[in-house]
Amino acid sequence: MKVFSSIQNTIFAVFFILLVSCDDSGENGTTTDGFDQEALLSNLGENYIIPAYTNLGGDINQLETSVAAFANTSDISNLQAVRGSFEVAYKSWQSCSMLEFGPADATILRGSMNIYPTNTTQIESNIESGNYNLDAASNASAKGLPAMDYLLYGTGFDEAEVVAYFTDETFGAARLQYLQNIATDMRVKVDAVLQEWVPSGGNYLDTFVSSTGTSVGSSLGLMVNALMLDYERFVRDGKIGIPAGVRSAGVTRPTAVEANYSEMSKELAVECLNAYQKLYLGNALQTDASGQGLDDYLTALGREQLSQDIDAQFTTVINDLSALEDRPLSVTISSNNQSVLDVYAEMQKLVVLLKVDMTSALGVLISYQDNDGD
Amino acid sequence: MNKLFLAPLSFLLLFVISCEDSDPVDNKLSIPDTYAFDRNGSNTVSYSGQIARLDMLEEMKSYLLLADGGQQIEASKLNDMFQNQNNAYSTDALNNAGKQIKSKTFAPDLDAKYYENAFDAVAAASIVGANGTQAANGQAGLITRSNGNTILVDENGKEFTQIIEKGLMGSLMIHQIFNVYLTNERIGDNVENDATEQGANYTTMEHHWDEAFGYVGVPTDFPANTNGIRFWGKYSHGRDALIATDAKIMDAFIMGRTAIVNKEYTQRDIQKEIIYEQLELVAAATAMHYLNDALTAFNNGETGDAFHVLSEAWEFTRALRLSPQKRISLDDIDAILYDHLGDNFWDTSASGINNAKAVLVNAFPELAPVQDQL
Repeated sequence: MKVFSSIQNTIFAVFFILLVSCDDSGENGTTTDGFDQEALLSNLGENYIIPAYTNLGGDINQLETSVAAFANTSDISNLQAVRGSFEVAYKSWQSCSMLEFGPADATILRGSMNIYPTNTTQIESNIESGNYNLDAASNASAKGLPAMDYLLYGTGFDEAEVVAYFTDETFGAARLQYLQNIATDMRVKVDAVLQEWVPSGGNYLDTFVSSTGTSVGSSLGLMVNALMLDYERFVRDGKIGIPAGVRSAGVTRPTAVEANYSEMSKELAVECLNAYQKLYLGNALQTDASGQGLDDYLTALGREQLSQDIDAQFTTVINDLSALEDRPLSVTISSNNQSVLDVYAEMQKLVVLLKVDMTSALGVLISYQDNDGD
Repeated sequence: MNKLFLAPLSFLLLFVISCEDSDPVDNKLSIPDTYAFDRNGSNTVSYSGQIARLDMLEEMKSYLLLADGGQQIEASKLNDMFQNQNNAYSTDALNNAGKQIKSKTFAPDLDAKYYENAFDAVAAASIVGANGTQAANGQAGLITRSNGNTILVDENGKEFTQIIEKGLMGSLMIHQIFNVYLTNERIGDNVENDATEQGANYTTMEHHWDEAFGYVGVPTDFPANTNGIRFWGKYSHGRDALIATDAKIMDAFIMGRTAIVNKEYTQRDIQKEIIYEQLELVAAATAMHYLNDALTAFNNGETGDAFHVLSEAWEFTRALRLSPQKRISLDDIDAILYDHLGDNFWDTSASGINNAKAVLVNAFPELAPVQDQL
């Protein structure tokens, strides 16, 4: 009977292996590494992501309303109100830029909201012709917050001149119409993304929470890829590196900064890095209350040091950005670019920690490429 | 029972397995692991004409890339390359090969002067490109990609290099495989498959099958070996993780060729059908891949990248015209090209790209689960 029992053992062993390998993510969302991914994802979804889109939606709605009031009565006081709404909305956007997966990706949200430097020639030619489709490729850099940045701040040296731009006899009405159209375009897209996320709408939240694991199509895989692409291309390069000349052989491009006309570049960069840190720590967007974040995941995997190093590096970048001279970033780049390049170097350290160390610890594959190479 | 019982059992098992694989029955050739066939100890496989044409297209692409880099190029040189005249190529081997691309190109494209017109247009555009003219809606010129390289596009944003190179992957390679070499006229039951051709070691039917294989662009031990893959082989391999076409295409070519040697014509036709189906799938999946890349480019506000990948998607979609048993209708192909993407890429929008994807998914339902990952 020895043979039989060893065969039996083998069968049991094979059966057991099959059973174990099928149990990739248990009923309570616990993955094979023992970490409760569902708790992490639902915390991020409910306490960071949906509040971020809710905030942005409210602020963009307010912006659209202010623009309508300004179109109705184009005076300095209404211009100030529009500028106020604009600045609030541009800051809210900083908490959403890195969430370009799922509904935002399908809606082309980032591509609609924040492509800069904006193309002022295209904007003016659209206004003059009155014939434009904001979704067309030709208008990729003629809409969104950067276009509004130009229209509200770049069309005159002071508030009176900007008001004069919008009350011009020939083009005033068309300019106001363009301002309203780009506000509405943003509002429609943000609303669409928010509606897709909330349980009362498309309930992507449920998909997000239940797609556990670390494969390419898992929520963690999608989110980490979106974070890294946004951080590398739009935060490190877009906000700092490109204007500082990192991508143009050292020749600076100061006017390529984000929010060049309203001169909010530095403020927005700090806002953005704060949002990144909050998301990493799993803190609630509104209250900053602590919750399950990527830091906790790393700690649970026995990578406590890495978990802390990333948090500390976020703080370093935020402090260094804040410590840049208190004047427009474009001016700092022209006068003291080394200070900006130093911040860039600190931002680059974060890429290594996140893209190399964190992804390998989590088992997430970076699936985006910059180019196909052909 | 004792352990000895297992010994004969495992021996028997080994025997059964090995029989299944390669026991010569009735002197039939067993299926080789690679695309290697011989008769009386000498190789019977030959497709030097196909290799020459693939080499020619590579050289033509290199010449076109000069224009992408801002240099002026000549239409006469492109026409000479197309027809292999006036020593247009860099090597005597190609110049004296007695082979050309044009005579093998899909006749309706020649009637429409699709390539000759493109040669004239790229040469004209290369003059303004050399002056540093930037592309705009209605203006051919250079446009920069996110990797810093420029591409030369026509007045509608189409990249000449992709239109010509990827276009000929369809009009030359797919056309020759589908409409010439794998047709009944070339490999049907009435084609000579007993006597070898005069001065050669292969039968006519064998040789035609080999010539079809030669247009795929893979080594004889593909997919185990992927060194030197190009054109369709490269694009199959690029999407293989999601559509698993590499082994199916290669196995079908090897098994079909084996069937020809064994005069098993039903088997030959089964394998031929697999080749039609899988190569068509590679074209559809690659078009989908580039449409996804275009959405990413829109999201990143990279118009140069968007035009590059839309040009690729355009030609991989056009290649779908060429199957005599296509699974997508000509009307649907036109809808993708002219209704959803549109002839002018400056007017293309993300929603149009999503509509194009939906048409592809409808025609190729197996792409549905991977439509966003491709």
